[in-house]
Amino acid sequence: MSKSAIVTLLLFASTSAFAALSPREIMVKNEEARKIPDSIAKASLATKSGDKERVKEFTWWRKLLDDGVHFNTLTRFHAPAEVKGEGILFLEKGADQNEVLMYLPAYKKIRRVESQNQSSSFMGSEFSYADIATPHVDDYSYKMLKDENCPAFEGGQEHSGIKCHVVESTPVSDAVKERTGYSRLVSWVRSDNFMHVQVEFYDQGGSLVKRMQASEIKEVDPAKKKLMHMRVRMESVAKGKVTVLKFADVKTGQQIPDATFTQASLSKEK
Amino acid sequence: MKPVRTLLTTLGVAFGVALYIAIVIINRSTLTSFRESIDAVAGKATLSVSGSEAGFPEEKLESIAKVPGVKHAAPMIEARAYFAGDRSARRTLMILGVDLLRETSIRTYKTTCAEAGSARGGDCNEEIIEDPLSFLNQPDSIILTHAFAQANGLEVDSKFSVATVRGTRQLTVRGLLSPEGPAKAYGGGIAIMDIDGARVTFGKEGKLDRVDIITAPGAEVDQVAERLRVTLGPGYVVERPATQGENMERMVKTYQAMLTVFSTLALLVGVFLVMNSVSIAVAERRREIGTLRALGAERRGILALFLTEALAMGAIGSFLGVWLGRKLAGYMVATVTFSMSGQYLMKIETPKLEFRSSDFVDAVLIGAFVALLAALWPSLRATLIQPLDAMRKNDPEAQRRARGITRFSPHLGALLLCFFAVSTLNNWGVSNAILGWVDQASAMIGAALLGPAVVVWLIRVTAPIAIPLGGAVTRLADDNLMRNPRRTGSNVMSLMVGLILVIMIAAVNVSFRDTVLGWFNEAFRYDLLVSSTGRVISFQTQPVHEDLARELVTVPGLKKSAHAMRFIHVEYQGRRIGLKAFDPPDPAFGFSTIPVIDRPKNDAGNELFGSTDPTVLVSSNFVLHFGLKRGDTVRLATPGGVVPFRIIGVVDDYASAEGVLYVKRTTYKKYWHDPLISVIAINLAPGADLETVRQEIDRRFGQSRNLMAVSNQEFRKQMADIVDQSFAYTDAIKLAALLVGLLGLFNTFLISVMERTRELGMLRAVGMSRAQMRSMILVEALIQGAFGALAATALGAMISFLWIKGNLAHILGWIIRFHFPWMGVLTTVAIGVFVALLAGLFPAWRASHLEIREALEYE
Repeated sequence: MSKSAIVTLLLFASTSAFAALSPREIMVKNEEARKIPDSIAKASLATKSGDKERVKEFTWWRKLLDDGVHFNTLTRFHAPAEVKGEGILFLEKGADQNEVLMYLPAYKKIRRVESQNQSSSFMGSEFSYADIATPHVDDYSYKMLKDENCPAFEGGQEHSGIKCHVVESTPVSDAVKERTGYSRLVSWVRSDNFMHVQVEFYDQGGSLVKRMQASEIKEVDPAKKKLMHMRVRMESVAKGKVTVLKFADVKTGQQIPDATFTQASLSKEK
Repeated sequence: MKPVRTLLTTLGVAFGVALYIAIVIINRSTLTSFRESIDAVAGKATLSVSGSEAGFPEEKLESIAKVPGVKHAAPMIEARAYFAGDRSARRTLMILGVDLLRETSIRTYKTTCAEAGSARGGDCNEEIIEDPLSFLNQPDSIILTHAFAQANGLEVDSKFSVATVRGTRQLTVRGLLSPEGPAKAYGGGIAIMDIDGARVTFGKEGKLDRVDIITAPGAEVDQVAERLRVTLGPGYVVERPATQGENMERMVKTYQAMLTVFSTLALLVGVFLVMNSVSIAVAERRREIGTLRALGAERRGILALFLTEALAMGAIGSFLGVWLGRKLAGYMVATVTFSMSGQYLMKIETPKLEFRSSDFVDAVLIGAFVALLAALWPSLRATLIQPLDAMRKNDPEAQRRARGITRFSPHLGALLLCFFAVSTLNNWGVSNAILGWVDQASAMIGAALLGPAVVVWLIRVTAPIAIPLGGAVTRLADDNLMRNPRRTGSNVMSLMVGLILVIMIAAVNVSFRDTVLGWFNEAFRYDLLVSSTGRVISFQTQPVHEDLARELVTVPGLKKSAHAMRFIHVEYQGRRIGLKAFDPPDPAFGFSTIPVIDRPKNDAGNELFGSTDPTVLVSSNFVLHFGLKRGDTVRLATPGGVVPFRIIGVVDDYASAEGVLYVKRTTYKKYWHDPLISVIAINLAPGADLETVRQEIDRRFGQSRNLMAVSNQEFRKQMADIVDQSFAYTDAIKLAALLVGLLGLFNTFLISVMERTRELGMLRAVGMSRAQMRSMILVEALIQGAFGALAATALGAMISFLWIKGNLAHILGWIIRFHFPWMGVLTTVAIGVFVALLAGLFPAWRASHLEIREALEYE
């Protein structure tokens, strides 16, 4: 076989594989690529509004449940001083019954975040509680919009020259719509590793409200080939505010005990 | 002088209408403010659960959330924040302690952009708190409305001090709200705190004041409400937000009814002015009417002529009245709402006055109707004038015929007053609004018809004494007044009606004041009263924790026993009654401080504090409203369920118009789980100096705990002041009534001088000097003013006595005892004489400047 024939065959194979993936399959792969069984990470959440920037530092513990779909996540804030010891526990459940609990050290008390509130701002950032929680493939129906070069943005040079699938996700139920506050999402998913690069969020009226750009993809669990964005930038289009979520010191395979994700653990302040 | 008379009458109508419209505007605006505040705070809630003022356990929230049909349940703490050190309690904030993590579905808050810089603040449509993590974890966090912050010189990150259950505490402004949603409530005097921060600040740890609920789509709201009632049991009120507004409206309705009574009476004074004016016009144009009739004019034409004139005066007066009413409402609103706040022991605010175009139409219709009504009788009399009678001068038979039925006016007046007496003592007007109006009209018209006859009688009776003392001028003046009793009577009528109204207001004021102060002297004998700063007299203070009472007795110079009292409002049969929980009194007083009225105080005191079962003393107005008596049971809904309290006696108490209950504090704590206290009464140790002890209390607790100590004497003065303030708004009503009286008197005096032009000219021709003429007219005015005032005093006092004995307890809500308003009477007589002299000045001047020749040629 001539060299050109091999190249043509490879190209054809690659293209046909590319074309063969349905939008749902793309999003399944996206979810799979990021599905780390357990992780502990240091993180910071920096929100900038005008000249003012507020930075919060926290640790998070995240563990995949036995159902292989949902996660439990514990977030513990360390800085600044007035939020030290505060904790947030996300308990993802089926049938859109996510539970979000918050611990306030000033009152030694756990408070529940109502599901409707989960579409509102996560601790004054441009992320909502729903953005922080893992979107599940079954919560949406999908439509392939197009394939194009991944978008370029500051800090996202690593994606340059790579093809992206552009997939539209629509909530399958009003409950999902209500919880997330979005009518649809448009995701740019890298064709090579299926990690998303950019997601646009549209409100119930159909207007673009937020744009998330993810970068610094790192293989945090080489054995299982699991990837993670180390930097996620969320921008509120109308308000012009930006929050940057950064992760560092990510550890996987730590065998985090289930007791970490209980109310008792939440109220330990450490 | 017709233009002057027309102007004065029109002004009289304008004042009457102005007062009426002002009260209508204030009453409506207060209710609208209630409704808007309740709607704004309720947000999208379809149901609301509340308990007593002491709150209910927060665990109930989970039970509520699990009730089928409840989609969302948002908890709330409601508290009134008083600025530390502000003894007037005028600067306060309604605090909504909400769970911001559960609020989205119920209420929407919008923030303002600081950079917008406008008075209103720009709407940024952003999250109300920039940093919820910091906000929620810091109990001092508070969000103010932009308007309140601006009015008080506060901005984001500003700090200010408020009174809390544990003393003074600083709060930090962490956000500003634009005037939308809940921020519109209470005229912007509202603030949002996190529920846990509010609990800590206002002593409601582990408690809730209310839970707002959104029912699930498709769920029947009434069915969900019923399920909630079953789940929660008694002690909880489950209602639609609109019902809360209705409850508040019912509460203030009685107070507003009293305002309406006074304003209606002021309108009635205007009626007399028009009647008086038209009567004079008829008398003045008698010959003209006769001529018209002789030339073929029909009776209905004459009727239409006078009614049209009256209608024009009424309509123009009303136009002016609407304008004046709006101004008057703005002037009176603060006084009225302050008075209501004192009366209902809660902050009532009317941030904006609501004037509707329909008010304008109403006012014109009322003015026109009143003018027509007032003119009807004299106009009908004009139609009865026979042409021949009108042409004759001084024909006694014609005059007798002209008087017609008016000869029986005093009898009719007496009859109407008798009807009023029977009606008011039997409370016929309480349940029927029309009968209520008839009551008021009977009293005023009866007094107006009988009064002039009383004045003429007084002049006749006193003439043998007055004439020898006063000399020739007095003799002439007296003769003039007695010779034409009809004219004398019509002269004093409008003044009398005005003065009767003044006496009635004074009598109600004094009776209320003396009754309340008499009760207070009996019930409060402690040397000092300690509370957090504010208006302790109306419980507009922050309750404090009972531990403070224990700390207080360590102050040197105080007796070692402090006697705490907790005051709250509780629901009973859909009404909001007062509940006072007492510690046992100082043994030095025994039970003599308990104002029991139906049995020996010692027996009642021993039973209240000694019995093991729940017992209660009820106020006399509670008995009036609910018809219960000693031995009956009051079933009170407490956070722990319904508790039957046995009534062991009746007391006098004026803390609530709906009724007050006395329980012992240990019982209260047991059923309401509330360790807070409203005030602490304490006595000085023997030999201790009051001022030294107060200074020590101030030094120890003033700054740190925001406490203040008020002496018995100061407290009495505050009590007197608050009663006076409660009636302060009546000053405007008195003023309007006196103005109308003055205008009426001036009007009639002037006409009276005009009618007597020829007679006065004759007196001047036979040698009366200008000064003597002036004096004679002024003496006439003086006699009419003085006797008019005396007759008004007698009739006004009688009407007030009957009113206080009868209807007023139902209108006001309190049983008060009649006290004769001595000061009011002295003032009224002085004002009557002054007003009469003032009204007589110009007519006297005019009479003294009559040209003799022209006067003799008059007519």
